[in-house]
Amino acid sequence: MSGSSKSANEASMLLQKAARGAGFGVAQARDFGTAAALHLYASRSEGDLIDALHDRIGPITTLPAVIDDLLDPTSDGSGVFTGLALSYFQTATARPTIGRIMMSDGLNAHLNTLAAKTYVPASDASRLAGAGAGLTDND
Amino acid sequence: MKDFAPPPQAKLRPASDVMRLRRLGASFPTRLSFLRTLLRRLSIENAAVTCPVWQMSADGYGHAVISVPLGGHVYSLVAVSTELDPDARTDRVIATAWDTAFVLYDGIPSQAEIDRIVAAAPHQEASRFTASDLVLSRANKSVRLWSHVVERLQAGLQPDEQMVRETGYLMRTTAVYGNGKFGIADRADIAERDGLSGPFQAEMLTVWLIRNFTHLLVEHVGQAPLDAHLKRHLGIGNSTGLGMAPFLVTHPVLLNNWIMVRETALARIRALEQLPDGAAVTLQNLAKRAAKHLLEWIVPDAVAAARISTLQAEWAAIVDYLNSKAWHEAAKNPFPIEALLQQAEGLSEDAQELLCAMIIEPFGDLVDGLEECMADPFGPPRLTPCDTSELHALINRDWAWATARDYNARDECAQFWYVSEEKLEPRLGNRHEEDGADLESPLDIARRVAALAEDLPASGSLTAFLATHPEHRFAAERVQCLDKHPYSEIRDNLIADTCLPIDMLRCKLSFFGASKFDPKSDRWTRVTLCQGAPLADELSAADDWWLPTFGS
Repeated sequence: MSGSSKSANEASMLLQKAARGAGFGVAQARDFGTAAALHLYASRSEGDLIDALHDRIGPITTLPAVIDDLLDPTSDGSGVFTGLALSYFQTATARPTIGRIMMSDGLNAHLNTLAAKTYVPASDASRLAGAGAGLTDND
Repeated sequence: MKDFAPPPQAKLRPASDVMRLRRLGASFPTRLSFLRTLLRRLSIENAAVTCPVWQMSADGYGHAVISVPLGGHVYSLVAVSTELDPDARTDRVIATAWDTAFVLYDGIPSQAEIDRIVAAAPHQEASRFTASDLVLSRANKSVRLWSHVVERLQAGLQPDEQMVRETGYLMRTTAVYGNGKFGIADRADIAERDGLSGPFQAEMLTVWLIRNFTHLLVEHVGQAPLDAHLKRHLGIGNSTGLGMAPFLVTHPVLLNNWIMVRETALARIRALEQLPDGAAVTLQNLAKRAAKHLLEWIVPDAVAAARISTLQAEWAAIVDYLNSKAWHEAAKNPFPIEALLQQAEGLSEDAQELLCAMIIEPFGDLVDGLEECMADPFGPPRLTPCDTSELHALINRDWAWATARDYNARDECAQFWYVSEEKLEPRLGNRHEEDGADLESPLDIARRVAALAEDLPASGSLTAFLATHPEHRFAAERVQCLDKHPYSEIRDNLIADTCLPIDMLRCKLSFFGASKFDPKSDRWTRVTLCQGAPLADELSAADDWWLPTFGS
């Protein structure tokens, strides 16, 4: 499997944008970005993430509320949760620091395709209204 | 470890006043700004800046390495200077080439690492970087001043002081990237290091080293040294656009901590029953310096120029008061700072905020160290399950400014924030004239909380409500966050036609330590960083450059 090394923040932001592009809410996308970055850092299944991104009523929508109910700071969750739910639980309880993340080229491309759905194509109006538009900088 | 009781403090200024956009847009740098705290740290450590690599052609193209120790680590600025077609020179984020490119490297780079960075840095966002690269940046020359300084130095002369004073920098950065962008190190990698634990300290170190590099480069091409007083006035320019504005909204706890520290500093000083010896005179001198600084703050933008003109007139009254018999009497009476602050009541936000910034300046023994509370090591608080009636109570108490608006009214929803496909930069569109509002970025906090308030049942489980209304989770989190962090929200409608992003930019840039705000529209500004800051060989006297003036 070919892939690339990403910073944790870079990976988390891309995962968050992909969830937004897939149609999820702001808070759900942010929680997914955080949990999914840990998920990849822990070498858990990339397939979990792709499945979740394509299930509008699945874990990205439901897990935050599930965690709210079950949050128990005395547990590490490993006996209760598995897979992506475990990653959600662990980021909700411990906010672990994570390091560089290896992401396969396939997942990277998939996430970028979804993230691109949040971008607004440029128009003449937006270019004219953009910061700094129309000014010379040779001064 | 000893416990120290914090000094007495007056009541904090209310967030309902402090967090209005117009007031945030009147911010000035203070001694707690990030550049100031960095320079104090470098000074305490008596850091010695070295330049182990200088591979430059006679006309200033090539690369260099400038190193400095800080907090037990060594950091190196790898600088790359390339020839740039004037047609390609733009400060906008859509640029693809720059006069210079920089990486702040973790340690002293080997030749192989220098070669890697020299190849990658000029391409900026189009390149990939490693965890050894802490900050990525680039800068363009101020062509007119650069050419002038080079010509004068080559002729054996010093540059025209008026030109140095008017421009104030040889180069301006157009981006300073940190925290993992394009593969560089995460902030978490360095967040616990001495000297870099505060917000944006790695970025500020980069900026200060870039400023040193611009001095070295112009002296190299000019083949003669610049006078120290001119170099001291030559900071580093910066062009900042909309990309910076959303940060304050997407990092509510960080925003709270920055403002809370500044307000706590102010509250401690207001609680002083008596002024320490010499403080009254110091305040007089600072006010005079500020007046001179305002006279040197000349901008072409008509709106900004009018504000500065008003401020100059109002500030003259403050200076007069500080030289009056009334102040000499007040300075001997209890709570003299309160008497001074009363002089600004009824004046513009600009004058009031300038006075607040000045008042903090002489009292380092009361406020230095507070900057350690400016970071946010924990991230945003997680939603706490509660009854919806509790959330309603918070909304009623804290969010009347948001819920009292009609977001269907044309002016209240006139703008929308989005990310452009072109270069992934944040932009602000006109909802009634442009496409793209369906892909709006979530900076409409006020509207979201108003929508939550409308749908939220009077009582019952918040968790159960959010299970059926997940779209309100984000707003519910913001409501709970504001309860614990009173300065975490900008208390204005950021999609109204009255929202001026320049106010958000100025707030953030003032915390960096920027001055000489030079707005080019309501959505981007040029500023000067490090103007008046100590040079690399002046760190022993590093702490008296608040609102510097030419020749000081």
